[in-house]
Amino acid sequence: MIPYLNTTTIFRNNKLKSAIIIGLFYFIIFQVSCTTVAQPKGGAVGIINENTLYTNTSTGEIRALDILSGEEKYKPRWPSPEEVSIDKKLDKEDQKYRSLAIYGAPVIWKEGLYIVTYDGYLFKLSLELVEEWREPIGQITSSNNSFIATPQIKNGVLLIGSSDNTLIAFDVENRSKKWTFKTDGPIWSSVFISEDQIYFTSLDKYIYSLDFEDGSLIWKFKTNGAIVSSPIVHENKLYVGSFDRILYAIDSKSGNELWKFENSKNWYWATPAVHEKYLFAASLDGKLYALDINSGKLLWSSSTEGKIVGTPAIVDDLIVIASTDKKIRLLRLIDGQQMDICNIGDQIKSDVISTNEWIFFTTEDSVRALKIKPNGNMDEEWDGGHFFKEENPISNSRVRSC
Amino acid sequence: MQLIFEIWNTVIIEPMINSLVILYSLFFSNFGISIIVFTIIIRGIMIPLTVKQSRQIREMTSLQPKLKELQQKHGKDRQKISQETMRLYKEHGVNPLGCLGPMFIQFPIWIGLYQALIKTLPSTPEKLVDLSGYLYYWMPKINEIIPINRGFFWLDLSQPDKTPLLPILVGVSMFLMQKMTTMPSADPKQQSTNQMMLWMMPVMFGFFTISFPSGLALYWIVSNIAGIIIQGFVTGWTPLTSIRTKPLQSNPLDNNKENLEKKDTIITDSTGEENNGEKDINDGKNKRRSNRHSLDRTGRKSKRSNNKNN
Repeated sequence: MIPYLNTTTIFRNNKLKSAIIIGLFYFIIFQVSCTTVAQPKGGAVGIINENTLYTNTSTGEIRALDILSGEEKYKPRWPSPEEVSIDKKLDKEDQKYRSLAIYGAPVIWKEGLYIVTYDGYLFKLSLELVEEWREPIGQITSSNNSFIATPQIKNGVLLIGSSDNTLIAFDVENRSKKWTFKTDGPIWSSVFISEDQIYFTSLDKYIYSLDFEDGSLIWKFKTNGAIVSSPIVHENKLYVGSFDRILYAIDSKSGNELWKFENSKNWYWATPAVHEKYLFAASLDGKLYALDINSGKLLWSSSTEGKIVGTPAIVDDLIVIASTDKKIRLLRLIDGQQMDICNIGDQIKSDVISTNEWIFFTTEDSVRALKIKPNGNMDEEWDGGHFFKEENPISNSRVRSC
Repeated sequence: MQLIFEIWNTVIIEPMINSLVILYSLFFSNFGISIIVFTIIIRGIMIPLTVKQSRQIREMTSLQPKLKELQQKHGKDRQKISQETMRLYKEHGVNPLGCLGPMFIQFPIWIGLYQALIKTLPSTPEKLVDLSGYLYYWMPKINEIIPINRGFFWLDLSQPDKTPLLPILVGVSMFLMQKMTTMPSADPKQQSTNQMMLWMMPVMFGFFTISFPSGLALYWIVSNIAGIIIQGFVTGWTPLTSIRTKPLQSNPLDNNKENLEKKDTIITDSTGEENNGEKDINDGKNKRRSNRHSLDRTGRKSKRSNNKNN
């Protein structure tokens, strides 16, 4: 083909014009059909420690915000300045580490903030967001991803599942791997730690229970679909939903099935929530199902017009659900009656977390805070938004009354 | 706009995604094979359109010398030229938009397939959530097939190929496809455009392959091979065999000279007796055979000419 490339001939025969037209034509076509290889976005609402919300943005950064005002409390300084010149992923001007993405929320242990990144790093930061160390503990897969889940930590052992089918137990004091456990599929769920037993799920369709100390398998339970939802254990019963559209209740000691709920019309992504005799399961079919925790019998359900991706939050006798229909709904626990609804204006795919009467969640470009008033209504208090606008990362411009 | 997207998704994207997923489960949980089978099915469904398009293009091409004569005969009387052109088309049963119609029908299918491939192989958690909205929940077991294994030989079908092999294969198959579908033209301008397309398309798609998911590249390769075979049965294999009999043009300027000579012949010889054999095509019933003969003659001429030069 190369011998045909003669610019003189091209110009003489007016080929260039045709070439430009055809090139533009195909460029437009591919722009129109613009579903290209997606870039990871990440972002999680994070964790609350005292009056600080540690949240990770969809631009691969960590922010520490005052929960009452939404103001940034600490300027991230990770990594340390001397590393700036050797790390390719650094923005040299503000000396902030920018991961490809951070999906899991940070975890706190002994005055340290632990963060796992999409590209396989485990970071330890001080609570003032100064990097103390980092370890490349994750194996990068062909899709360039490693950690999707939120890590869990107990007795200095951090547990995190990886996209390369491995559950890693990492001793953060010795900075060494304690043990690993291999599955047949990526692990996107968080680990639930209960005394000396841990529970997690995998895209290989299994629910696993391991011994916390040595990672030996206690039992595994097969569902008919991949699982990304994190399990929850309550009074020796494990609850988790699968891509087979079934919510399972399993004996956490033996791994035997107790009951299952099959009404959902789409996958389960969110972790179920438990409150007294209620089990709340949010599905990608846009419904929140309230079940009797002992029998799995449907008590009530509430619909949204989008998908419920994030785990709902329970605040006193209310439950808060966020949907991709851009709305936050406040429902009464006992009967699902809608107390209030707030149009946020952006799709919500994050979990909702709460402290006292405050609730927090993230959209693609902002972290939002709502306060539940005594009459059961919500008001937006602040909007730590516009992650992409460096000049004004915190803005109250979009705060509205619900 | 929202409505258009919804119709697009319902009519094109969702059936394609679900078909791909079903094929994946039928063919050994191998998405590479699923893409290959799906492409063959799609190309098979579109055979009538492809054949129609090929025939229309061939008819249009065969009328080129007559159109040239009309232009020369009526000079600047554009209205007359237009009337006579339409009459000529009507006489030969050619619809000037006939060759565009099938292309426009095929085009949404190509774009839809491209989108369906990417959506079926989500590379991030967000995209996996999106995929849940495209599956037919009423279809038993379909949710149990997800996630799809993205491996196929050395490839991750959701990611671009890290080796140059796939871009080269796409380029070569596209070149052969272009070679098969480009009809010889009496019009030197058309010849020039054809020549440009012959290298332009393979190079362009080769570059696309570097940055697009390898699943899409696999689709292009299979689609091109299927296209070559269909075209071969409709219009003959002469263009491919001519690659073997006619050595690659060593110098594009020589090629251009040849074009200019042809141009002179056409202008000076309005009867078209020897205008590189194209006139033979207009004889009606034996068009295809004549076309092959003329191409063979052109090939032999060119070969002789090259031998002389050597």
